[in-house]
Amino acid sequence: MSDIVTRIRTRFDHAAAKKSLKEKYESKMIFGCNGGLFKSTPEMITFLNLYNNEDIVLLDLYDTPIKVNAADLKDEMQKRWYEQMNAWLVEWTELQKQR
Amino acid sequence: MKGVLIYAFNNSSIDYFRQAVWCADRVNRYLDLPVTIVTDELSIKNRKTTHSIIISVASSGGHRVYNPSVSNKSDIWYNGNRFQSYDLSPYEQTIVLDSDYVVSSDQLLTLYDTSIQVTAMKNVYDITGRDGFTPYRSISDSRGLHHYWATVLYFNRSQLAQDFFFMMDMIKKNYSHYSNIYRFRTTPFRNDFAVSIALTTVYGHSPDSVPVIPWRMANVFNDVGLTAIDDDTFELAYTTGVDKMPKKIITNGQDFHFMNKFDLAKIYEN
Repeated sequence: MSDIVTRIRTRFDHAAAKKSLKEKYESKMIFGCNGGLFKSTPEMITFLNLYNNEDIVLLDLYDTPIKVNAADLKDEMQKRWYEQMNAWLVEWTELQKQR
Repeated sequence: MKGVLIYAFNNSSIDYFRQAVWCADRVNRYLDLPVTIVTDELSIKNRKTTHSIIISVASSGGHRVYNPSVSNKSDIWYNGNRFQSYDLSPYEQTIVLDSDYVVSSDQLLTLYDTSIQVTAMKNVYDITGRDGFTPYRSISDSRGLHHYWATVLYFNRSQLAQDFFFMMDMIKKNYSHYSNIYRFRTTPFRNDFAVSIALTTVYGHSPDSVPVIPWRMANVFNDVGLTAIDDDTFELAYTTGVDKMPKKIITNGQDFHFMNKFDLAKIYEN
């Protein structure tokens, strides 16, 4: 009986869910390229737009210089950004319906 | 070759072997990687598994209380074998996982794309938002050494990784000496502390130069209840505030470290 009462009283923790989603999807923006780890961000995508199909050297998340093809890296970052942000929106919309 | 190593030595409270098999099944499913379980015959109890097995001799780190919010009952804790990882792992690139790490995504595959030789988790967050892990930021108030988590370790075949596990072994053998230096409790032996000291040492005693896993680990404290909605989705139940308001949160496709071994058992036993 007390279990049932507890379940009825239990509220969905929207604040914790919002924080947790941010952590989850920010971590999914991280990926490997040429031995380095990079994070897809709007700033990085914009920066990579300055270059064409050329090799450039960027610092990865460990501050290690890594030679990358700018176009390939931009494609991967854009793909990841769109996929994860859309998934984030879908999940957030679903969680908002919880009581 | 890439793979995952999990340690599992049973005591009278927890069937770590069963827990490890459950964890390994999830690694197969979400990471598509082979798993080797390091265990002993007492833990296996003649059970069959599709995962590779390495038999070792359980090494105790002392006694631990599993769920202090419920009871002060303690049990012997066989957590002292992790330093063997470099010698035991059959893989070129290895992730060592705690068996209570719930793999629900392919996030860990990212680690195999790095050229880092050995790394661990440093930054964690409390998935319930209650900030229960604030005291875990350093292993010692007075010495300020960062707390690194042994829950997820990554290493490749390299001198640095070998040195790291050699150092872990040395710390384990001289644990009271290190506990005096860094001012932490002598018992039980904590892999987190050995990892923290060893990582900091092999990277030149400079905490800022330790290349940690670049995302925060979702941690769930041992007072949280767990219900599986489906393979990917879990409901976490907990209370907040002095009036113990019951709350819940749902995770989907998200890895997390779940410390309530008893609730985890309800899931893998069903």
